[in-house]
Amino acid sequence: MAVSDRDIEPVGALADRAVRRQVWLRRAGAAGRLVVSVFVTLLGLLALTFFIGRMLPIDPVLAVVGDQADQATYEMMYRKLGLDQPLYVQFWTYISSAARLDFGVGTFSGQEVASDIARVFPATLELATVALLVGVFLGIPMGVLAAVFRNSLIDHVTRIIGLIGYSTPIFWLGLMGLLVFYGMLGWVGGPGRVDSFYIDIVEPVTGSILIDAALADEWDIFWNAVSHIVMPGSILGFTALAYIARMTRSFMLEQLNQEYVITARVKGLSNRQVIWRHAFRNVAVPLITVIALSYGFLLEGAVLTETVFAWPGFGQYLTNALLQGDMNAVLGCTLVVGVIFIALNLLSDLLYRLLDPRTK
Amino acid sequence: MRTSDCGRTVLSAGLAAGLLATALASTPAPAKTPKDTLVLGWTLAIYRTLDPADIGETFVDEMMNNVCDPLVFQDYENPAKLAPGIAESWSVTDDALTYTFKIRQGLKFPSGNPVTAHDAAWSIQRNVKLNLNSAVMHKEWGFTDENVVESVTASDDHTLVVKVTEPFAPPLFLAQVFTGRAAFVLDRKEVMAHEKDGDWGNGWLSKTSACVGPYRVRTWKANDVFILERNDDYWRNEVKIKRIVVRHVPEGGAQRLLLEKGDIDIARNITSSDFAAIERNPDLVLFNNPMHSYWYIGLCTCDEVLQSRDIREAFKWLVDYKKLESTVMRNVGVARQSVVPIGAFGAIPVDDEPYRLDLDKARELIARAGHPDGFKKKLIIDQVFPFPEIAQHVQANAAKIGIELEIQPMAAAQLYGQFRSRDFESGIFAWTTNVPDAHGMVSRHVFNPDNRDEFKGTMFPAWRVGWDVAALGLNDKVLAAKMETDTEKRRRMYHEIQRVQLAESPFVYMFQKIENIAMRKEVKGLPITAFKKFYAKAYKE
Amino acid sequence: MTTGTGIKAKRGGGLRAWLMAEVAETVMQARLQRAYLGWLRFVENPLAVIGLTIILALILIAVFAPLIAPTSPSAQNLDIRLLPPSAEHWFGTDELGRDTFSRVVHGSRITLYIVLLVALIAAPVGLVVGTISGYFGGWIDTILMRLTDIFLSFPSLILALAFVAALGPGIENAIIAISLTAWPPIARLARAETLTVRSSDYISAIEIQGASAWRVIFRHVAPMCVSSVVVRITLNMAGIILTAAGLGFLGLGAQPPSPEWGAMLSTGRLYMFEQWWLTTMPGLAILIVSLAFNLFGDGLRDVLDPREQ
Repeated sequence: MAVSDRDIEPVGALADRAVRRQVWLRRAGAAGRLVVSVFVTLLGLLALTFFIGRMLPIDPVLAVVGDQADQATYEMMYRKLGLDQPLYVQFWTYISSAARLDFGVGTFSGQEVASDIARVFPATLELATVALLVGVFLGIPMGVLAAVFRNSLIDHVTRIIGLIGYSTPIFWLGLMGLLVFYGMLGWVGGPGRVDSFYIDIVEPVTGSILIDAALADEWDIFWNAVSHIVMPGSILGFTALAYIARMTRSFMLEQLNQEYVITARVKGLSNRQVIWRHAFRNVAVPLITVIALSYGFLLEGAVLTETVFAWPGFGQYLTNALLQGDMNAVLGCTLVVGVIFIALNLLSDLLYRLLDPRTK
Repeated sequence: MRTSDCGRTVLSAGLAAGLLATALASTPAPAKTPKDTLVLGWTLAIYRTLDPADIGETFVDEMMNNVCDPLVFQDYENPAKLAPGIAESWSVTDDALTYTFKIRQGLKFPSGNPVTAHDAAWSIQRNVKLNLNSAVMHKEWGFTDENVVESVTASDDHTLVVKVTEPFAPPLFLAQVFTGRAAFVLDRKEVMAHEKDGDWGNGWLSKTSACVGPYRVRTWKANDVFILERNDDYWRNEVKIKRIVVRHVPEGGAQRLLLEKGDIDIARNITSSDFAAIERNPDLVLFNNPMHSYWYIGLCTCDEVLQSRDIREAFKWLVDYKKLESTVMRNVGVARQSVVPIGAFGAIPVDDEPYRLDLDKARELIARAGHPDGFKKKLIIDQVFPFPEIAQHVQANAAKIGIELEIQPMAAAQLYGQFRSRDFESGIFAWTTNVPDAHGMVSRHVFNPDNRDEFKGTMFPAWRVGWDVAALGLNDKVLAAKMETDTEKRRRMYHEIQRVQLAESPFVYMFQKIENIAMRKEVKGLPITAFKKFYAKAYKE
Repeated sequence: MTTGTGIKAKRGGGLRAWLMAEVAETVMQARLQRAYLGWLRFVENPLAVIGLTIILALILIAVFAPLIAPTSPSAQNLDIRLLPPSAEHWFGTDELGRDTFSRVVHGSRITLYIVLLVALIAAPVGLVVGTISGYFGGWIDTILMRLTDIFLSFPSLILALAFVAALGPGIENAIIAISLTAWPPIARLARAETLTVRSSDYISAIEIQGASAWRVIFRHVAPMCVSSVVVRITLNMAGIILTAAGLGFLGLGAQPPSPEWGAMLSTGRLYMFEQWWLTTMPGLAILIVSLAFNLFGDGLRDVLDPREQ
């Protein structure tokens, strides 16, 4: 598509009506194809989740009625959950209600799945955002440094630090971090989003406790929430760091070998200017894709972190739903995750096209 | 130098991060829990509904017992004793067929409606008619969809009359039917005002409460937090704790840290190795509360090999009960081989239990059953502690006499699904009963009205393992004990049932669960029994 | 045969000289020369060599596990449970009194087994899907890539979790589940490579000679993608190990008493603060091995990926 855009630009300058129309049609066609492909992907996602859900040997009725229930109660709940319907009917019911963003009531939470997701998702988003900031602000300088001093000790050390984050079981890191920084040193807040004292005081507006507290002018709560998010955020960010640092290094190496860098050096520009003004600027564009992708992975990777840090987020909700055989919740969550992945992919694609001078 | 520029940038980034960390370290010290608030850390995986007719989870049951008063209380100290609740007194006719409850005057629901006998009768009818989780608590005693409206009636505003079809032992009937969530008195007018599509207000009650009790539900969010707030004009006693906050903390280790730091007052899921740390911390108290719950092996007689009584007995000689009790199960469970838990009415003494680890005996038994070289079986288990630990212990001992057990861990909803559909060979399961009486266990584990597959007696573990209890004459004995009004005679009947169970049953009872409640020492006066926790009596120093 | 004599004939000048000869006389010599040059470049990177050494050590440990481990990994003794590391029990003992060192050593077999099988399943599947998709284009491409997208947009741990839950626990099912999550990125990569190769002149030349599409794909396109796929899968090994550990951690990996590292971590979690060795030892093992695969993969990429030369 990038190629076709390049062909079009000069022609557009000729201001030929027919050509313009053709351009418009082409763009509409591309947009249409995009919509169709997103739609098909979503449908496939739904079908896959439904299929997995039906394959699960977990008995959703038992998750509801418990082990001690008698058969009459069991059978009543079986019908109530619609499990006596033929599969295709269940699938159709499921697809059509999903289209209305109605995922039904979660069997293990007793609430509308849509409202549950609306409640737990901001917590994860908040966590992943902090993690991403940690990953970006540490990972990019590390990657640049590693590229500039390629194969030196600095390169090796930054790579190993990054890779350790990538290769350490996250819950181990989490529990140890809690033990040291919360249990022993008392530098950070413990598990949970705020201290017990502050629970349920701020009115949830955005669902992000940091923003809500700031909006409500409750700065004690804000700083308390900050002290709680630092640990899980850093630990989750550590896992993104390796990926971001590695990709930055790789992109930078490519740029540093380009002729313009050598020319710039010859022209007597300082090393700092060469690296940040010239080389890094060209790297920034592909890095956005990397960052967008790692954002997606962070949302997903939060499952274990949330468990360790008692973070009432999306990952925990989904894992619980899965283990309880709560298909309404699982299907709703999967759809949300799928949409986010697709959206992030599209977004990074768009940004790429907007920002990369070569695609203009 | 050519490198210094770049190095400086990175250095400053690192410095900024460091500064942020120091800034955080110097934020005000984390607030401890306030004196009028009790904070609990608990793993609240399932969190479905607050409707008493539909509650299935221990946690919600415990909490709702602090929100709704039943007709009759179990005593704070001794759960076997009964104390007046919404009913200030009660009487039983001599034929044990009619019970009359006097409803306390002057009580008001949160809506302002007065509490009447009509509400009490309606609440019981509702429980039976809805046919959800708690319905079985009434249906076991002969109440049905058809007869409940005639059996449970209000003769006037303050008199509730309950008629039963058979003369049950009155203390047993009262304790089993009127002390728990099936006997909460709900605000009929308020609930019915929120009825939708004939659901008896089930949808509305799933998120709120409409009853008299020391606390009211303020907030509940699945996988996050549950908050109760004091009812300021509670009739029974002065309630000192204003707010109870239950936080969902999935990791036991995290709960311990929170407790040590004083960010929670009570931790409910402390894990094995942390007991020692709690015990040596002068600020903390570890409370070991023996529950009427079991971990037991079920052997399905639907399996050809396990059909043999001798093979099943061999399994009972494969567990080192005492050794496990003092090691893996320390603080977690006590060895118990009888179906009746220690502390329940009718339990035989621990010394009367015959089994211990004896590989020779087990070897002899499987040889006698025609499998001298052993066999191979699957053992399904829950994936959480202590199932895998117990399973591996049994597996190792079984391997020594040639029995190869393949352990299959799975989620609870799957495990019990297989158990209930007789789709397993052997497995380790858990069971909890809700009355301090032998009847609670034997009525399910030593009772099986019909052993055929098509009967689907899934509520009876005895049916699930295909144990033909009737052939041993036990069904009748269990029913006879249920009706026996002479306490001593009833006790002897349960002793006899336990002796047969020990010798014959396809269940290997191993451990009775101990619930661990770790508290900060400031928390005082909280009555804890195997069935209830009365937060209305708790206070902080 | 000629190559054989070729090697012998040139031995006089030394193998090194033969490998470095400016003009290769046979195809075999050319290939070996390329491999040798790659090896030289690989050896320049000390981290990559360390990675390779650890992987080789892991393989040796796995092969000779029964000789290295002092006891059987499932030998229980409740009298010596939860002992800290000592001369007798290097890594201490676990909750059932088993020797943790023996379990970690035997666990290397399981880890290697998982990693190899997943690589053997995911790489070919990804390669086939990617090359077919890239070569044919059109609706085949659309269908295959949408399918890949669907799998990609599903969180991998959750997908694996769901499949293991559906298939039942056990190492083989975990492998299948992880493979299901591992192939899509490889398919994407192979497709991208195919697109660049597809338009090259020599592929056109082969097509003109009348080679069938399948022949072109499997004989000419796929081999061009192999090196980048190998690099990718090596880098993914760490992810595979961690996913397996994550499954074990959530109780859905290997069945007890199998000493799978993730499952050991999961059990040890209960004893984390008091008996640190129960989580630290398998945790370190996972860390070291996944680090090794990462370092090795990095080195391999430097050698095979032309962009970085």
